[in-house]
Order: sequence, then C-alpha cells, then structure tokens
Amino acid sequence: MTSIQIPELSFSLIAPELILCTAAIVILLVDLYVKNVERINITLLALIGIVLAFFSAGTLYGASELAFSWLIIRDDMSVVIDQIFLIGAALIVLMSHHYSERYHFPYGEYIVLLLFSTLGMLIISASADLITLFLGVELVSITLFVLTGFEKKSLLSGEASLKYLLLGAFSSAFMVYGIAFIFGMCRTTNLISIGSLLSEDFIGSPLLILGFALLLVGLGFKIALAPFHMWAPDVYQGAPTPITAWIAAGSKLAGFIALVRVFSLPDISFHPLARTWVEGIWWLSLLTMIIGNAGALVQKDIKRMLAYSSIAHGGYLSMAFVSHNDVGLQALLFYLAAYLFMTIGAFAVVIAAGRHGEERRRISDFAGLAKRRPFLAAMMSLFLLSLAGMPPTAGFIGKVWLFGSAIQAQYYGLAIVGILTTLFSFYYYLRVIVYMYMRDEEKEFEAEPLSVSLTLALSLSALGVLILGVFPNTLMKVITNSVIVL
Amino acid sequence: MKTFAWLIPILPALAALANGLFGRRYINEWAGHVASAAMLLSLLLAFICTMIALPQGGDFVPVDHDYYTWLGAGTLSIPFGIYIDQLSVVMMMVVSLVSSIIFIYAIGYMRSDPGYVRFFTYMPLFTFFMLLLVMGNSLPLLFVGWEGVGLCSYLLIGYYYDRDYAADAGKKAFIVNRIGDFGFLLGMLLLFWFTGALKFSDLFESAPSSFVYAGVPITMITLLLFFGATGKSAQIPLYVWLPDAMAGPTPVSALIHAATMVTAGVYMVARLNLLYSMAPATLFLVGVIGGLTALYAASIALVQRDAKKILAYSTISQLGYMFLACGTGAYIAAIFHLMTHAFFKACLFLGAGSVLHAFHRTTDVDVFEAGGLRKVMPFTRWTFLISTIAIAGIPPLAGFFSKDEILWKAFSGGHLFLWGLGIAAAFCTALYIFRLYNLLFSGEFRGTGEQRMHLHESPALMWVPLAILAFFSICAGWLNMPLFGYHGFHNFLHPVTAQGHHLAEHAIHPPILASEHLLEWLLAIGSVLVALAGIAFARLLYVWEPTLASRMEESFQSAFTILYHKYHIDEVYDLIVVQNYMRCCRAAQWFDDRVIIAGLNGLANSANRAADTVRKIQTGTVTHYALATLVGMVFLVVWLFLCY
Repeated sequence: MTSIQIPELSFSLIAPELILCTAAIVILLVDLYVKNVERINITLLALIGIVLAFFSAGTLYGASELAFSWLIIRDDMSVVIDQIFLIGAALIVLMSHHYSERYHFPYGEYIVLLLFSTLGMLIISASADLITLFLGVELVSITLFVLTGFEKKSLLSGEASLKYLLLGAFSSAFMVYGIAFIFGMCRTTNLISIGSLLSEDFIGSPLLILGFALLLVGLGFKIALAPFHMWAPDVYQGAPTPITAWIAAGSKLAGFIALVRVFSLPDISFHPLARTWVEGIWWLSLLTMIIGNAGALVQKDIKRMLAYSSIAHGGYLSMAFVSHNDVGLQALLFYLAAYLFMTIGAFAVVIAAGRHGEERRRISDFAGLAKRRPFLAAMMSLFLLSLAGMPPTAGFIGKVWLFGSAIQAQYYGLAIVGILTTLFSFYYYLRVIVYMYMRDEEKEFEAEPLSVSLTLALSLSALGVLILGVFPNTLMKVITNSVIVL
Repeated sequence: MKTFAWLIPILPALAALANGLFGRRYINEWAGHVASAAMLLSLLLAFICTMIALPQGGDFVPVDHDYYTWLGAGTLSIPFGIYIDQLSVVMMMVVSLVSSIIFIYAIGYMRSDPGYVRFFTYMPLFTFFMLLLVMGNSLPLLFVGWEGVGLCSYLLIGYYYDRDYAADAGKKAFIVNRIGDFGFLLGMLLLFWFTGALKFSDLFESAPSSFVYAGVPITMITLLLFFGATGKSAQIPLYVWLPDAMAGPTPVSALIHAATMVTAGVYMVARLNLLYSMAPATLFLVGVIGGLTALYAASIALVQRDAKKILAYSTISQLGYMFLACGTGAYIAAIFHLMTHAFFKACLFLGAGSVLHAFHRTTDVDVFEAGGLRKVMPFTRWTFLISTIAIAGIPPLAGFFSKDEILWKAFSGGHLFLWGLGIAAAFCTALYIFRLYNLLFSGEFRGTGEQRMHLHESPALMWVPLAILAFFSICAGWLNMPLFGYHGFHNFLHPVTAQGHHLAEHAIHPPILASEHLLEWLLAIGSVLVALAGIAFARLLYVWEPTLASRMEESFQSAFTILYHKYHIDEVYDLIVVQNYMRCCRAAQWFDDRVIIAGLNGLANSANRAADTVRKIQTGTVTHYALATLVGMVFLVVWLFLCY
C-alpha cells in the first residue's frame, strides 16, 4: 500500500487569488440576501477586494517557490503580472459602475463574473502546470462568454456572445487535444518537468510538435492571432463596452502570459522544439500585424476599429516570442502593461462620449467632440497616440523596446514589417483625432455629465500611459529583475 | 545664492505661462502688470545677487550649481544648472534692469494694441531665455537660451503678422540667425569632441591642456562659434536681418534688437575668452570684423530716412565696437560698452518710440517729416538729447568712457588699424546721431497740419522709464574711469578674464606701447574733438545751413545712393544666396512630387486593397470563422513539421 501523501498547502502564496475569490463570493451573497443593495456598495466591495489583493500580491515579491505539488509557481514575474491584472480590473470596475447604470444590468452578478474572470487571469499567471493553466484559461473564457451577452436587449450582444462561445469552445478543444499529446509524450503535465525533460536530450516524437502546435492554436485564438482572430471584431463590437475593454486588455494579456508560461521555459531554449515554434510564431506574428492593421484602415465603427487595432497589437506583442530572448520577454511585459492602460482608456472615452441609446459608435460620430467635450477629446487623443506609438507615451517606449528585441535577435524582416505596419496604423488612429478636432459635428449628441467613476478610470489610465512613457524606468526595473529570476 | 537664483529666469517664464494660458480669458489688460511684476521681482533677486557678489569684488567665488540632470546619455551628462560669476552678475543686472524698464514703458506704449496679451506673453518668454543664456552653466544651456531668444525675436518681429513686410522680416531674421547657429552648433560639437566637456567649469579646466596654443582645432572652434555670434549680434556678413527687424513694435526693438539679445554674441565671446585667447588668428578676425562693421554700419546710418533704421544701423555699429574690443583682448572693455550701450540705446529707441506714439504710427517714421518736436515733447527731447550725447562720446556721459577705453585698448595694444577704424566710426556716430536729433527735435515741424494737431507728449508711464534710462546713460560710465585712475568695473570683472590673459601673455610679446598716462589723455581729448567735429558738422548741415545738405547730396549723388541703398548688399545676397537656394528648393519639390508622394500614394492604394480583402473575408458567419481556424491550424502544423 502506498500511503497517500498530503501535499504541503501554502495558502499564503495564493493570497491574492484567495482574497479575490472571497470578495467575489461575498458580493454574490450580499447580492442574493440583501434587498435593493446600492450599486455603489457593490463597486466599493469589489474595489476593496481588488486593492487588498493588490497589496497582498505586493508582499509576495522575492518569493520564488512552487506550491500545491508544483501546480502553482510564485515568482516575481507572476506578482508583477498579478498587479497589472488587478489594476486593469479596478479600472474596468470603475467603468462598469457607470455603464451598468446606463443599461440597468443586474449589477451584482456582473461584478461577480468580472471578479471571477480576473481570478482566472491570476491563476494563469501563477500556473506551473498545464492543468492549472487550462483551468485559468477556461475560467476567463466562460465568464467572458456570459459577460459578452449581458446587454440582453441588444441583438449584437447576443450574437457576439454566441459566436464567442462556439468558437471559444472550438479552440478549447484544440488546446485540450494539444495538452493530451504533450502528456502522452512526456508523461507529465507539469511545465517544470516538461522543461527539464526536454533539456535532457529528449527529442521525442513528432507528436510532441503536434501537441505544442495545437496548444499554440488554442492560445492563439485567445489572443486573436491571425488566422484565429476572426471572432474578435464581431465580439468586440457586440459586447458591452467595459467588457470589450476587458477582453481586449485583460483576456489578451492573460493569453500572452499563458504563452510565456508554456513557450518561454528557459531550460529548453536550445531544444530543436524552441527553434521550430519560433518559425511558426514568426508567420503568425507577420500575418497578424498585416491583417490587423489592414483591417483597421477601413472600419467605420469605433469599437471594430479598436478591435482590429487590438489584433494588430497582438502581432507586435508576439514578436517577443520570435526574438526569444530576455529583452523580448521584458519588452513584452512592459508593453502589455502599457497596452492595458491605453486600450482601457480608449474604451472608457467611448463610454463617456455616449449616453443611453445614443452611443457614439461610428467614427464620424466623434466629429466635433473637441469643441463639445474638450477633456474627452484630449484623453482620446492621448490614448490613440499611445496606441500609435508616439513619444512621450508608454506606447512609444514599448514599441521601441519590442522592435529592438527583434532586431537584437536578428529578425530584421519582422521588425521592418512591424515598423511599416505601425506607420499605416497612424492613418486610422489620427483619423479619429482629425474627426474630433477638425470636423464639425453632424448630429447633436446630448452630453451626459462625466461621472466620478469614469473620470477616475480615465485619469488613472492617462496617468499610466504618461508615467510609463515619461518615467519608464519605474516599471522597467521591476520587470528586468523579475525576468532574471525566471 | 543657489537657493534662489533659479527664480530669476523662472519668474518671467511663469509670467509668460500665465499670460499665454489665461491671458485672453482672465488677465486681459493686466497682462502687462503681471509681466512687469514678475520682472521687477526678478530684478530684485538679481540685485540681491549683485549685492552679495559686489562687496567681495574680485574674490567672489563663482557659484556653479547643478539643479538636476537635464540630458544624460552614456558618458555625456548635461545638467540644468547655473553659473554665476562676475560676468553673469553684470549681464543679469543689465538684462533684468533694462527689461523691467522697458516692460513698464510698454504698458503705456502698447496700451491700445489688440495684441496686448500676446505681446506680454512673448516678452517675458524672451527675458526667460535671455536670463537662461547668461546664467546657464554649460554651453548647451547657453545654446537653449540662444535659440530661445532667436525664437522670441522671430515672434516679436513678426508681431504685426498681418503686414507682409513684418512677416518677411521675421522670417529673414530667423533664417539668417539659423545660418549662424549652424556654425555655433558645429563649434560646440567640435569642442565636445576635443575636450569631452560642455560645462563651463570643466571646459575652463580642460581647455588649456586639450588644445595647442594657436593650433588648428582651437582656431576652427572659435571661428565657428564666432560665426554664430555674427548672426546673433548682427556683424558682417550676417548683419542684414537687424535693420529689417525694426518691423516689430518699438519696445521690442529697444529690448531685443538693441539692449540685450544682440549682445549675446559679445557675451559668448567674453564667456569663452579663455578659448579665444588661445586662438590669436580668430581674435584678429574678430577685431577686424568688429572694426569694419562699426565703420560700415555707421556710414549707412548717415543717410537713412527712417528713425528706427538709423538706430538699427547704429546698433550694428556699436556692436562692432564691442567685437573690436574683444579682438584686441579687451573683453572687459567690451562688456563695459555692452552695459552703457544697453542704457543709452534703449533710451534712444524708446525716445523714438515716444515720437512714433505722437505720430500714431507703429513702426516707421520719416525723419524729414518730423522736426521741431522739442516744443511739444520736452521730456522725450531732453532724454533723447542725453542719450544722444552719451552715444556720441562726450564726457562725462556713459558712452565716452566705454568707447574711449575700447579705442585706448586698441591703440595701446598696437592695433593702429583697428584704432583708425574706431575713430572714423566715432566721427560718423556723432554725425548721424545728431543728424537724427536735429531732424526730429530742432527746426520747425515739416509734417502735415493734421499730424501737427495730434502731436502730444507721451504719458508719464512712458517718460518716467525714459528718464531712468537717461539717468543711467549719464552715470553708468562712472563705474570705470581709467583716465582718472578708477578701475572699479575692471577690477570686479578681472577674474573672468585672468586665466585667458595669463595664457595669451605666455605666447605673445607684451604690447608695443606700455600704458602711458599722458598718451591716454591725448587720445581721449582727440576722440572728444572728433566727436565734437561730428556734432558741429551735423548742426551745420541740418540746422544752420539746411540747404547745404541737399547741395551736398547733389554733388555726391552716387555716394549717397550707394549708402542709401546700404551698399546693395541685400540685392547681392539675394542674387548669390537666395536665388540659388530657391533653385535647389524647386528641384527638391520636383523630387518630392514625382518620387516620394507618387510612391506613397501607390503604397496607400495597395494598403486600401489589402484592407478591402480583409473586410471581404470577414463574412460574419461562424462556420467561415471556424474554417479559417482549421485551415490555419493545418498550415501551422505542416509548417512546423517541415521546420523540425
């Protein structure tokens, strides 16, 4: 008889996850048992949970440990990423507070789902095992399927939710299949074990390649790499705007972190596998940059335009896996943080510029915004310029770093395509600014006063974009240290 | 001192910011008061600095403090800091004092102008840059100020932007200055290349060991830097912009184009006197250019008809004197003349402005339409007369002492040719300036009856500043009276140039003529006599025998025409430089239209086609999306197997 060994449970290492989970459950119960609970109280509860999780994550710096029988890894990278996720989640909660009031969502459920999707992201960042990883990815996906369809009266929202669900399930199947192949070949799903196995002259059979390829397809879907990106424009357009922002920023970030966990195991950099998948991602990155930017050129709907812009950014970001060096990984993490702020900011402006039943959806609706809402127009310009990569914003620093890593790894072609497509992207970003500042409005949009929560979300995003742009060293130092630990 | 000195430039910058951001909406007619208040505070602080430095005299240890690192890249680090030594103190005092007086004057002068707020945004901004220029502790910082004052000068020359000649004059000033600045920048980069230092303190330390005396590198560097100075300080060959710059409002001409900005070149040469002392060839050229410019510009000023143009050429000529002094190694004399000139020239300009005000004009007045103004404008007349005497070089007014020191230094240094140029220019100076005075204030009014009706004395807000400037035009010279054995100013500034003098003395022979007191007296008397002759001649031509002037003009027709058309230099420049430049521009435009734009349009079209394709693929049908995913997966797997 083998005795069952109870693994050591180090709950302190997953404190952020636990706090967030508790907050979600508390809100669920409050929403269930307290009648007519004020919306603001739910928001405050959620924010308190997020802030507590943020600080408890902060106390974990320096801990480099595996826990729960190697299911969970707690290194500095996971802490940085957790904190970025939590900042993003806080911004989304602030946006949702305003938006849900406008459309009378069942707010408690909404926030609970939002917190659970955040929890999924935290799990991804801390996963040391393919099973944990899959758990996190699915938690994020399923909650987002539901949230996408939250605007029950809108046909677009329902359609988006259904499409997202069908295609998401489709891609999850690829992922599970891939994991199965990998498990079959390596006899383990633990990423650390796989890493050390592959570093010991273990060539494996071609089926291992198939496994990783299928995993790449599954995760490629989550981060909308072409040609797995098709769902993105439709879902982005249909989902409630805060959720669009969360899909664009949070879910994409999570997908990239999952890729980092799987494909950047340092032990296996010299394995033939590593070079092989670099070849694969090279094509995906190239295709994504071209399709994303080309698609954005002709869009008339602002959310669709931002969707394609987000696809294009996926292309730039996946360049980091092609360069496959420390600099690339650092640049990826930095750019993800920058990208989170500017994307969320841009969507926050889209929310603030509209009102119930009168959303500014088309780009031409933004004509004359500068005259009517100068603050919003200025904010939008800042976020768009950052997305385009203009100094002194965060987007500029991130792009320079990212393209620099590709050049350092001697992938000049990819870097050049990146720079050229960036050039094209200026066209569609600046077009919005031209509309806001140089065109007169075609029809009058009644102004809804800017709520406190939205102002906060906007200012914090703008602050993030500017701080990372002007003083990039603050985050760079943290990231550089954490990637060395890895 | 370092705890508050940074406020001296920052205060006017804040005023500019306030007026620029809130001027139109909230401040309006108080813009002038905001600017003047900031300027007066700044003056107070500069005065405190002076009071700290002055009692210590030559023993004052320069304050060199870095506030923070402005630029850092590799081994290069450019701090944002101040360097206050005796030279900076003098410059700070001159700049802030003259600025304050002119700001107050401008409140009255610009009162009814629609661009009042804009005017008082640019003016303090200018002062900020000017103070940065004289206080910065590194060459790049000096350059920031240098470019900044150039920018403000451009903005203020083109202040009446709806008039073509003003806009053109602004552009001309900017472009000509940029040509000089290019030389300055090259010089600065070369200097960094050879010494690796840009901070003044490091530079002064490393220069003597980095360069060979009279070697090619140091000569190149100083020449390039001096080329920058010829642009900013309007010397041959880049002086052409200054006369046109009179298209700006008169306080601008007084502050920027007479008292402060144009002296930046002199300041720069004096600041870097150590380098110049090591390059005798450059110094020789500086002296010759200065002397030639002094005489050349003074001769043009003899026949001009516009009061402000005359003063502009006079400024060029006086700047020539300062460079002449630098060329003979008499940097302190140059700074001394810079200071006295700032006072009497500002006074002359503001006096001319007062006349313009009486004529209800903004920029130009024909001196032959004026005359007899002494009766209606007594205050303007007296202050104008004082500064006229000061510039003509009659003791005991300021101009005499500073100009005489320059001439004496040239003579005693053995530069007889330069001394000759200086004396000839002094005669012309006395002649043209009294011609101007006589035409404006003596005789009878020659304008129309309607103009006569409107003539009036300017308000107190304008003539009080005039009186203050006139006071300084009288007294400023007393700071240094070598003739009477008093060397206060010289002793104070001595440490600034000591190192350079020390270096130069090792290499060259001592002056041919030792300073002999009797000779100095004789020369001084001589130059006074020359000035008196000029004054008498002007009096003869324009007051006692008015017909004589026109008769002379007829008999020397060709000379007059050449002078009146400023030796046709503008036309020559146009032919040689501008026309050829335009040809290059047209070629570039052709290339841009036919190659670059056409190419870009092609690129944009192909991007559009790609975008259309992407849009068509996006059908909105889920099965198509799933199919795309599947196809992508197959290709990916196949490709990976191929690569494996």
